[in-house]
Amino acid sequence: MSTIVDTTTLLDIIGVSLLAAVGVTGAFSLAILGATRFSDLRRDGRAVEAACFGVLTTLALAACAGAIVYGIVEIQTK
Amino acid sequence: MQSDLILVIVVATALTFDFTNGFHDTANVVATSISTRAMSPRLAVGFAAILNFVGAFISLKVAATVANGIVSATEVTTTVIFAGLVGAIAWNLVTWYFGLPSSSSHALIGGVVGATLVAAGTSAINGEGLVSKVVIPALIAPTLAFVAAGLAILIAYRIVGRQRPGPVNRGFRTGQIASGGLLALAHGTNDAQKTMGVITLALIANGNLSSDPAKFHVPEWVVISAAVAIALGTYTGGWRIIRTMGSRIIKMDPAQGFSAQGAGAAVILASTHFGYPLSTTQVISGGVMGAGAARRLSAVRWGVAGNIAIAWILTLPASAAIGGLVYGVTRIFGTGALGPVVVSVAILAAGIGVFARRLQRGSPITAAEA
Repeated sequence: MSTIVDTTTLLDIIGVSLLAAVGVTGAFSLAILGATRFSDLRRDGRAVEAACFGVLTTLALAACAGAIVYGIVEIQTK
Repeated sequence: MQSDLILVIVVATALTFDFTNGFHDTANVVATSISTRAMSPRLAVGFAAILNFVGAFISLKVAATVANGIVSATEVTTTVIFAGLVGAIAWNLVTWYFGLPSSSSHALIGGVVGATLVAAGTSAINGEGLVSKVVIPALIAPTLAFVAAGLAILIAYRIVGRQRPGPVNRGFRTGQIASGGLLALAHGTNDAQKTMGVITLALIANGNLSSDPAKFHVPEWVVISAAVAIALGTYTGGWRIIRTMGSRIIKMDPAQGFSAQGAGAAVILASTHFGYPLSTTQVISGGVMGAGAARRLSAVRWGVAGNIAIAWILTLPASAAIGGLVYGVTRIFGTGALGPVVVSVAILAAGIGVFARRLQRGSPITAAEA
């Protein structure tokens, strides 16, 4: 059975899928959290804290975009 | 001359299958975006059609698996491939008629395996390839999407759970444009390649391409025509199945839709990278159920999910049986082109009959209703 089932490949697929799905959703959730807090804090006049959440949003969105682009490039090149 | 005529019929049938695949399967891809109102039905379907087309150009590993890894390319004939395709199309029509999102991919593989078994016996089937690249991934992929979507939505709720629902829902709806697009891209990548693989297998069987796996090559015209066929099928839409996937399994919020689509895209793209011909229907169903069950087990309509599971279980044996039967019928007319021509006319008439009956029973679900 072990010769029929390519365990290494299956484990790779499981690992990559879980990491990508959970990682991208987590990062996007952080981006939404950052955007929501940024808007609230800026309205309250707390510019420094708002800027921190703005940076969080930018980094989280960049992480999402980076993960997607990396994944597609990886599929195309190997 | 006769064999070239059969090849032309096989290519036309394969592209018809690809069209029905888009029509039948891709609805699943857009259902989540429509259900959460992230996109209007028409926009979602148009967007998915474009990304299906683009996705078809990303990889050829699944095409290589279908052409070389499941049946022996040197032992099958173009008539066998034709019979397998007809088995898959017939099964797709049956499941479409009843509104069940079964797997077009497994129908295709089942049809080809069934026809090969009848024509050339077990020696022509690559059992190892069938188990390792089709059966095992078929079991693992939906479960993996279920777990991935479940974990993803739990993390999302943990991060944004205390925020105001309005901006959070708006954010995830916007995100669904990307996650839905990625899922459509993944679908095009995996599913269009199955048609490319079958056409390539037919070209090898007909002697137009080398049977040496080291010289495996998919001609450009095959890639482009498969991409166009699946995109046209997607654009035509399958509104009945959209409703089953989008709202009858669970009622979703945009965060759940994002998680389900993200998990589905991740599983399909990772599997495509390793050349596994997955059922995108099964994967997205797993993702949708995982995103629903993680929040509340009772949110999932397990009865509908059970019907879908039955359709999955039946798909491989049923399409294999039809594929085998079609091969037998084709051989009644000899080894020439007459058999495929007669069967093509019969399947076309049956398809028109199914559509007409469907229309008599009630108008199909339209973009406005979905």
